[in-house]
Amino acid sequence: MAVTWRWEQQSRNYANYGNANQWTVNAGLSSLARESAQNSNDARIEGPRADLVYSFIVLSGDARREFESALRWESELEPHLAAMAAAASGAVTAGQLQSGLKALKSSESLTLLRIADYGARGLTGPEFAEGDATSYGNFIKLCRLDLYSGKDRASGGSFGLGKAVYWRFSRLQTVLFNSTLDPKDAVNGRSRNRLIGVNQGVVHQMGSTSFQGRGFFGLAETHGDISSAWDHVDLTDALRLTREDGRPGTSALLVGFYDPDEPEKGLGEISEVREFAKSLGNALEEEFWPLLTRERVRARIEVIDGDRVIYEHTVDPAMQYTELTNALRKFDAGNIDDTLDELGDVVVRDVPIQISARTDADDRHTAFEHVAKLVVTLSDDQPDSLENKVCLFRRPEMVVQTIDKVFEGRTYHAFLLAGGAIRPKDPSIHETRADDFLRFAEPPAHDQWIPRSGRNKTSQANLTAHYRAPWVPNLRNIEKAVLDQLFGLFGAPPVAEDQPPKAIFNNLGFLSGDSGTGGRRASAPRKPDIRIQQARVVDGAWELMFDIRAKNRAEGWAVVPKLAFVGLDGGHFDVAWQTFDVDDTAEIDGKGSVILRGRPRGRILSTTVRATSVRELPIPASESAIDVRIAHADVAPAQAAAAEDNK
Amino acid sequence: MTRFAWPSYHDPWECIVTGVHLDGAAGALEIDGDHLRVDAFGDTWNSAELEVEVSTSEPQPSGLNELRGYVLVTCAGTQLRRSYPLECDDSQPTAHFRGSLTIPRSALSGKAILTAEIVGTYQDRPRAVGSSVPWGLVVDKTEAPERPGVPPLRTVWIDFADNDAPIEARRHLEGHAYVDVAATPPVLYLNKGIDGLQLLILSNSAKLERRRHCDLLGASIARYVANALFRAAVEQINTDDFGGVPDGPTGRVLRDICEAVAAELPDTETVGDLYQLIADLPAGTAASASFWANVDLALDRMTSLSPTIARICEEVKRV
Repeated sequence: MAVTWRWEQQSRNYANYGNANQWTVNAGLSSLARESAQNSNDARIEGPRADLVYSFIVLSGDARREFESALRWESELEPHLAAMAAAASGAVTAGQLQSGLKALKSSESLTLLRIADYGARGLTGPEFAEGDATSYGNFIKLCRLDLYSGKDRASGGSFGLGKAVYWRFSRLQTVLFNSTLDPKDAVNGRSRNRLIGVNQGVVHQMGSTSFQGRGFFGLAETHGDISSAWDHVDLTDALRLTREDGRPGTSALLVGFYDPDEPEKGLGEISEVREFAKSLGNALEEEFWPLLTRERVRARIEVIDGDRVIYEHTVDPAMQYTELTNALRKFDAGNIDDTLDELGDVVVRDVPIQISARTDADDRHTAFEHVAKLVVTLSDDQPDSLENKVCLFRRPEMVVQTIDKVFEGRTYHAFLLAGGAIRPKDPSIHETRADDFLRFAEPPAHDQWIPRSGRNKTSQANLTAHYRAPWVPNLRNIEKAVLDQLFGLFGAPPVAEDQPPKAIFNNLGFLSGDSGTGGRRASAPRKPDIRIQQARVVDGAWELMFDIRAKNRAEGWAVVPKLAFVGLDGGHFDVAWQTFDVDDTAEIDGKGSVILRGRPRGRILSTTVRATSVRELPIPASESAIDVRIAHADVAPAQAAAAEDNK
Repeated sequence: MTRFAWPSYHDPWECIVTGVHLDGAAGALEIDGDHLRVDAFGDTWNSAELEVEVSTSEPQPSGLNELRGYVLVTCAGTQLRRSYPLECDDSQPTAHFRGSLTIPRSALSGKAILTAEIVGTYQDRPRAVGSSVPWGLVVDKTEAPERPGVPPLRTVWIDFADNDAPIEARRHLEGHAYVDVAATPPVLYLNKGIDGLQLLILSNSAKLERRRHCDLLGASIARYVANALFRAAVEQINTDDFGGVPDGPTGRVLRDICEAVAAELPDTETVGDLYQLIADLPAGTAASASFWANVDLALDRMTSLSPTIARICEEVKRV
């Protein structure tokens, strides 16, 4: 039998304009890394280290034509995709297909992404979703069902949505799979090269016939069903789905790979594809550093131009997250320090997490307290993206979320091991149950335990079906408990009670005898001062010339200078002015105040006053000592008010 | 600077205390030339002999003759006002006087002021023609300014629920601060029972939101302290029954707060003006209300509360 594409005929009762699941997956290579690696990690077989290989394959010229021929592009796939694209006005997915087709037609090259795991369970089980759901294997869950997880305890996902990541990153919504099974999982005696292709398009019409959106690439069965094609080695080679070794696992090929956030990239420029590879490597390091550090999975990324490997990189988080990987290794080795004194020291603190009572009939348990482990180490002087953050993770060893907290003068790296992550080889029943509780707390993107509020709130309703409420406080308290422990480590140092509180006394500088200065940081205005330039007695009256100088300020000054007879005891007696004039840098209002207006520039406002005293004085002027004092210093009146006063 | 109707010196004379002898022996008193102060509270003594030199570089104003120098010692606590003649040193190119003065301890309390006064003859009449910047002679430690870095009042951290806490604090267990103005010097009690208060207030390198809270709370407590001290100072201002100058409060910290407030208010040039203003303040009038409103605003500004609030409001616009 020939391998072919087939879309079932559309019934009149229901139409599907695309698989909604993929819209739950964010765009961006970080999302691709999280979801795809989690899928492979969930399928990983405990035991020897598994391998995860990401291969960006760029095909052009004959290589592209050969691939398209094997894919039955011209004869089968493209016509259906073109028909789907014609429905673009009414459906998002169709619009994606339309732009994807257009982009690929205008490009010389075609980019594929192959995600292959080795040492995983592969696409096990029967072909079709019939009968008891518990008998379904990975094949049906991946290729035939939506929104069904059926994953084991302590796995990564719980929604069955993570697989959508493959289609999300294909311009053509088309993904091919080739899987090798463990011989004990053989299906009808076959275990190698199980090939299937799935297009998650939209309902479409060709001629007078309407077709469903979901199309399959495989062997056509007698009743029109499409089943896996086994052991078509030449075809799998032509489709770039060759398995590197005989270990079980699955290769997924994303046809027309792109990042939905950057659709213009990856259409011919090999340097852009190389950047994709680097970004994906960085994301894997950041999101899966615990898994990679514990060496349960080794990840490799390569870029293949035609048949030539032009870039190859083994993902190693120790290069970027040295402190975290060292700390995790020390934790696993039980090599823990009591205090954080120097670089490399690792301390562990208990973080209690209240686990709600589970209501599932087959796994019921009462509420209990799980003790997660907070591991903290000091940072070196090489900054990275996980500095001053606490990475939260459980059994899959993927960073679910971070708690960000900056402390003054201390830079740290930290992580919280919860559930099955504490003793992954031999978790206790409580740790496994705690892991399940946290798994169900995660929204479809698996990026949150601690509930957010407001617009950032994400539904964690999956818990409702399995656990007795309330569970929100339990989750919120995780953050509080982590911060409490961090505060104990990095909070303000023990206070010395005899230490004068600078926060208070910095504002009481005027109590140190330095009169008139105000607080150290206060903008206390110094009062204007008088500088007498000339003072003499003429015809029985005092004749003076003096300057008034004041700090320039926007509100200006209103100053009332008084002539005072000074006694030997320091007392004074004010006498009236006979004449009083200022230069043109100031004005005099109707109340006798000298008005100095604030200026845009300059520090000092000044004016020179020429004045004489009255002649009727308490003692003869020739027998007196005088000074000029500031009787009143206030803000300048508003211009209009001053004009009114002068009338 | 006071100007006279006759020829006089425009600039202050320089006055230097060059030596101190306590009860006839060279003592260990500290002569603080930078702050023009002699600290005489460390030892017990009956009389102090101070050696003084007074000089100016300003030429003698024309028309003046027969210059004489004196040191005037005044002490508000004992109402002392005594002058000590100095000897003219003719060997110097400009006017120069030196001499010693013996002051009995019993004539002093708190702090005495030493000022050089210069007298000359003009047109056959003796005239005051110059003076120096005053020196302080501190005989009570409480009157001495604290050394730099030493807070002007003691701070005690205590749980306000503690039996050792002052009764006023225990009446308000949730209060964060209490100033005991009756103590000498006053004591600031901070409530250790408020979880986090001590950490926040003593956090000298706080950042972001903690820094804002620390600044605001620090300024707020400073404002409360200043208010409590000023209120206590005002209660100690006594009107002179014979029309003389009102007495200010006793205690350096209370006088300091008065000097600082006087420098802020619009109608007070000196702290004496403030004492007089308060002594003359008719209770329950608009003038009284206006005075206290101005005091409130001045205290806000002096303790940085106003600028701190303005700064934080500006900052949190973008938070």
